[in-house]
Parts: sequence; C-alpha cells; structure tokens
Amino acid sequence: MTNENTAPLSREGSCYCGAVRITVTGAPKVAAYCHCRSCRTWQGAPINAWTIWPAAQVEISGGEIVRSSVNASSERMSCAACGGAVGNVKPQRDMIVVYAAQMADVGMPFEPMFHVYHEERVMDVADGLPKYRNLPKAFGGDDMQDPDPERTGWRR
Amino acid sequence: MKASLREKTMTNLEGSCLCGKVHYTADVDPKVMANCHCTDCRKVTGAAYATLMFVERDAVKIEGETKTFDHVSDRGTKMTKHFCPNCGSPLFSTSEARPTMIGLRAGSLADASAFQPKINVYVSSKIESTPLDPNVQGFEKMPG
Repeated sequence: MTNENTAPLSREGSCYCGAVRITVTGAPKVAAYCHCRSCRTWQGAPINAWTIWPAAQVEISGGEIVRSSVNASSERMSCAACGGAVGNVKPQRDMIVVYAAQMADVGMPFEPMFHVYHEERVMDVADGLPKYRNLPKAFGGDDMQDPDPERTGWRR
Repeated sequence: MKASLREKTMTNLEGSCLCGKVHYTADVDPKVMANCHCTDCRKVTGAAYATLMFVERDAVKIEGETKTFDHVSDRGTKMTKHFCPNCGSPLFSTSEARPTMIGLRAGSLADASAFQPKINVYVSSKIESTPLDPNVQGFEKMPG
C-alpha cells in the first residue's frame, strides 16, 4: 500500500462566494450547536451549527479574511469579499471551527452531539441531545446541563 | 391621540453587528418573519439556518458603514448581502424584486423576543439533522 491510500482524505469547501477555500483533512473532533450571544450576533442567526478540528487538519487559503476577536478564546473569520462565514480559530486550543454549511460542501454529514451555552439560548430544540448551560468539562465548562425542552421553537 | 396609539403597536427593533460599528433601529411592524434554510443563507451565516425579518427600508435607520455583495437568486433576481467590513457580521439582505423592503438578520437583535418566525422557507435545502418547530409552516422553497 502507498501513503496515498492510507493518508486521510483532504476535501475542499469554500466561503459563500468561493474566494476563500477551506480544506479539511480527516474528521472533526466534535460537532455541536452553540447558542451564545456572540455567535448569534456574528452570524445574525439563532443557533450556530459547528464542528471543531485540530488546526493542523484545516487549511484556509485564497481570498482576504476579516477577523473578529471579541475575546481571547475566539477569532472569527469571514470572507472580506462576500462576508460569508469562514471559521473560528481557537488560539488557546490550537483548534479551528468549521461550520455545518462547509461540511455540506465537503460531503460530510453534520451530526451534532450536544448544545453549548444553552443558558443564552433564544430558541428551544427538543432533540434529546445534552444541553450544556455553558460548556462540557472537557471544554473548560462546569458540565451543568439543562433538561431537554418540551418542544422545538423560538422562546416566547 | 390616534398617532400615539399607533406608536404603541409598533415594534421597536434595535440591533448591531458583533463589533458594534454597525447599528440599526426601526420602529416598524415586520411584514414577514422567516427561518431560511437555503444554502446561500447557511453559507453566509455559518448557522443551522438564517432568521430574517422583512421591513420597509425607509423605516430602518442604519449607523455605520456596511460592505455589500451582489448575487443572483435561484429565481434570477439580483440580491445584495450587506455585512460589517470590520467584523464580518451579516446584517441585511435586499432584493431588486422588492426595492422598498429590507431583510434584517434577526440574530443581531438586542432583544430576540421581537422576532417570532411564522414560516420556514427552503426546507428542501435544510441540514438533515436540523429539527423544525411543528407549529411553523414549512415551504419547500420560497412561497408566492
């Protein structure tokens, strides 16, 4: 067998307009949802659908990037040409977030495992997945969970 | 008297991008409030789906500069995405087909309770794992 056959597959996705390329190799560590206000404000949307990868498995190339660092744990990246989401560098963890839309680009299903920052949510999701109030212990949180809501929908 | 009663029924919307350089206010009742599952919206936002409230463009006061990106919809309509050039937050969407209207991305609202989705659009493009509110009417593409 050659190295080409055993090496993990690299697949290429992009930002909305295609100027920025996002190449991933192998598989993400985690897929989940985030309800925090920073994600909601940056995305203009209620629930962030993300995957997280070791930084070495993600290559960002091509067009100009806009970076937004509202705190030390996140450096969100967008395409300067179209404003489309590119990713979120986690400098303290040497990890990079890749969004569900780019998972679709590379032909990988988005299979969420849990919800984070559930205490900041604006919508309920009755999907039976763990709902961490902030973060799981492995991510530096207090591991506390909320019960699954009765229904899926915008909170009233 | 009539005018003051009317003011009370108006929704006071306020929001901003993540860095705060772009800020908007609107005293207006949204005409349409929708969750959009189309690939364009999901790629622009990075979210499970987008939330948009369509209001009269003249009713929205925008402070700060946005950058725009033009594209053509699946119906052949020229549309424009507006985002903050400093932090990248997507904020507004406009369409040549409805020049008097503007779509506000509801995730940027200071008070999320001002938004209540009435329809799910482009359900045919949704992420398979995304659960839907059974009480919100779904459309395969854009209705109408």
